[in-house]
Amino acid sequence: MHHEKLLIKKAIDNNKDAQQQLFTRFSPKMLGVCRQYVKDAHHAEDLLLQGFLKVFINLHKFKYEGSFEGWIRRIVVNTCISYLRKKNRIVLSDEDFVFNDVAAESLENTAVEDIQKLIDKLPEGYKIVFNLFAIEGYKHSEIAELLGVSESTSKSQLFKARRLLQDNYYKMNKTIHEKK
Amino acid sequence: MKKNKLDNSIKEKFSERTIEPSVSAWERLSVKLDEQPNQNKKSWFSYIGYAASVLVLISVGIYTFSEGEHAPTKKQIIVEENRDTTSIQNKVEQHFNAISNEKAIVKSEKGVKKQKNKLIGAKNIHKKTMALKDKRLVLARNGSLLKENLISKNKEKIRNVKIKENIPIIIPIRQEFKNKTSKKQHINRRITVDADDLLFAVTNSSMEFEQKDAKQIMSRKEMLKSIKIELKKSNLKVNPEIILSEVERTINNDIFQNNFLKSLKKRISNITSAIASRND
Repeated sequence: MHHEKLLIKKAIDNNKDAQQQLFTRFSPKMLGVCRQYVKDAHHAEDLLLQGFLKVFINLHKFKYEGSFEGWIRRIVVNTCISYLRKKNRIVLSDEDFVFNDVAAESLENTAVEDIQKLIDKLPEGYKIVFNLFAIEGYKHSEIAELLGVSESTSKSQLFKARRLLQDNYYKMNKTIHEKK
Repeated sequence: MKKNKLDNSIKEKFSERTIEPSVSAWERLSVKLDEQPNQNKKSWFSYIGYAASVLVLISVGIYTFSEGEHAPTKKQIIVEENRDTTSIQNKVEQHFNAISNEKAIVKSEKGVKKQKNKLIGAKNIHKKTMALKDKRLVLARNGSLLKENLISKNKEKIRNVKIKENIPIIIPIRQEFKNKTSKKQHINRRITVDADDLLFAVTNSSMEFEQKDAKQIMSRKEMLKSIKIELKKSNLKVNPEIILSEVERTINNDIFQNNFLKSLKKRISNITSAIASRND
């Protein structure tokens, strides 16, 4: 912890070694976050670099109140969402869906990359809301504020993402069983 | 909205997931970080530049507006100066006109006053003298002694009348001549003596000019006296006013004025010789 603080202080003073150490420590996790939102790995890496650039520029604003990783994660997520909002207009529908518990239990045994593939198949709006709510732990109010939509829209998007994810999971299991 | 099992399981799986970035990722980021401070510096310098340009614009604006405020006043001043020059010119013209008018007024006033005061009382006497003059001229032409005697008798009569009437007899005649000669002088002055008179009029006040004019009139009286004396010496019966007016015509320069008496004597001698030759 003390070492991390020292590194942050050095990074604030434009110490390249400190900046590199921080980057090598947090970049793999943050690239995973970027990958949640963007299907293309190179594209995800570009977003990672953009996120870390913002991190080092605004490093002096960090107040050591929360975890440094969480602070970086938040910046990276915001970078990804702002990119997606600029690139594609996020279409959010008001359909509702309740996730099947059976599907959830079966999904626990599935590998992360397979789950990522299922998430990648989701439409942009569903995927963002699902990532923010289910993985990043954002509240609907926060998602609504971040995406510029109403809270109810965020909720409906989450349900819709879950239903589509479940459908895609069943389809994926079917093809696996058929191959076997 | 509560998180269900699927969400939790997915979260757990993704929270531990790591993807190693490419080898060149850090180099690309470091390049971007190196560019960043320069951009900051550039922006700082650009802000200074903007501030300087704004200051320059404000200063130029203030300068131009201040000039613009002064410019109309200058124009106004120029206009006022023009007005001044015209007024000066008008004043000068008025002054010149005033001088000529003054002259005329002075002379006319003098003439009119004298005519009014003195001519009225001496009208009859003037008629007599005019008749005598005519007689004198006739006698002079004939050149007879008897007539000369008559003229002398008439002269005596005139002298008696003069004695009786004192000044009023002579003055009206002179006054008439004065009026005539003054007109002539006025015309001559316009042609010849204007420059000096104008210079004197411009450089001195109207009162001084009047005084000068009065002196000239006085000097003219003295001239007439001297002509009379000369005529008496030569025993000629010629009007001294005519001689004086002729002499005045010839006198245009100060040099002649200085030698006035000489020229006067010459003129008288010429007249006498002419009359003598005419009698012959």
